Amino acid sequence: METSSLLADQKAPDRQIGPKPQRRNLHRFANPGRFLRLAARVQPWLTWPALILTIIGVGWGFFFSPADYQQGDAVRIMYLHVPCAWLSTAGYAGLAFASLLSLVWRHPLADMAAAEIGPVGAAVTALCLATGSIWGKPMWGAWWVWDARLTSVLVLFFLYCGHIMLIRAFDDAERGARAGAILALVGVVNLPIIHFSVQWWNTLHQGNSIGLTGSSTMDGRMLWPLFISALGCTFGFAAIVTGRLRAAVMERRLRGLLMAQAERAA
Amino acid sequence: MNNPLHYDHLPYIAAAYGLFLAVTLWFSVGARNRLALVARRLRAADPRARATGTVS
Repeated sequence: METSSLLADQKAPDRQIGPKPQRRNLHRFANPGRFLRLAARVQPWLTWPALILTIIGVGWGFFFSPADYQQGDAVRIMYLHVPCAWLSTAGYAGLAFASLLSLVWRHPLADMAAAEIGPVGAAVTALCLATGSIWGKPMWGAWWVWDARLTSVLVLFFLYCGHIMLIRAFDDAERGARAGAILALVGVVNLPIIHFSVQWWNTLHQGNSIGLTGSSTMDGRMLWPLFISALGCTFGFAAIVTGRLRAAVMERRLRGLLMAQAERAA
Repeated sequence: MNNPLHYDHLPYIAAAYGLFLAVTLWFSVGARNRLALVARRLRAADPRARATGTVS
């Protein structure tokens, strides 16, 4: 204890001469202990809003919102399909951002974050495709069409699957994470293709009904449950990823502890 | 409140909602169980965590 305080005193003048340390950058959270403490505090603030908002949004859409004049009651599938579609692209953007942090700044948690976002993102993309397909059968008369929007989302699903497989394909986990990060960054080109596919090509899939800046063409009685459902699902996605990331950090710590114990015993 | 039994295309709607519920439960319960299991194993392996009752 005394030695460490002496060392700290010796280092103090260096710290004053050099540039002022940035305390509020992303590397603060690279410390696994600090991340675990923060994530444990944040987790309930993600989980409970997710549960409450999803139940309200989806329940409102299922029981109280009106039927569409063209689609009838099948429009209720939209309250699940649209949040899944939004999260499939937002999740991939998160995966790509984590991959960027991993490649450029070698952020220790970024590899783990990318690895944990992958399966959840793949699941919501599969849900988006499945609910869209279930909606398509009564509305279009077909489970699937090779439409630009549907095909680009299918490519997104393959990108997620490719990332999941690639990071596990190497004996050296670091090489796997690096290869996965490159794939994730290359795959970002698909995100604008998904978004603009309904404008660039003549698609069977309908155009955007709501936008972040423009006005909505949807009735408020449908828009509000959709918005609340999307918000709840977003919190849910974040809660699941945070929980998985906490578990991954603890698993890494556990492996280190067990290896150290085995070395001491040997 | 609408009566869902009178919805047109009810099997399709039920299939979509059932699938959503199943996948959501699978991932949320899975994450919770994985977290609880690793926390328990970490407490068992780490004497300091066992003493303080914390894994962070």
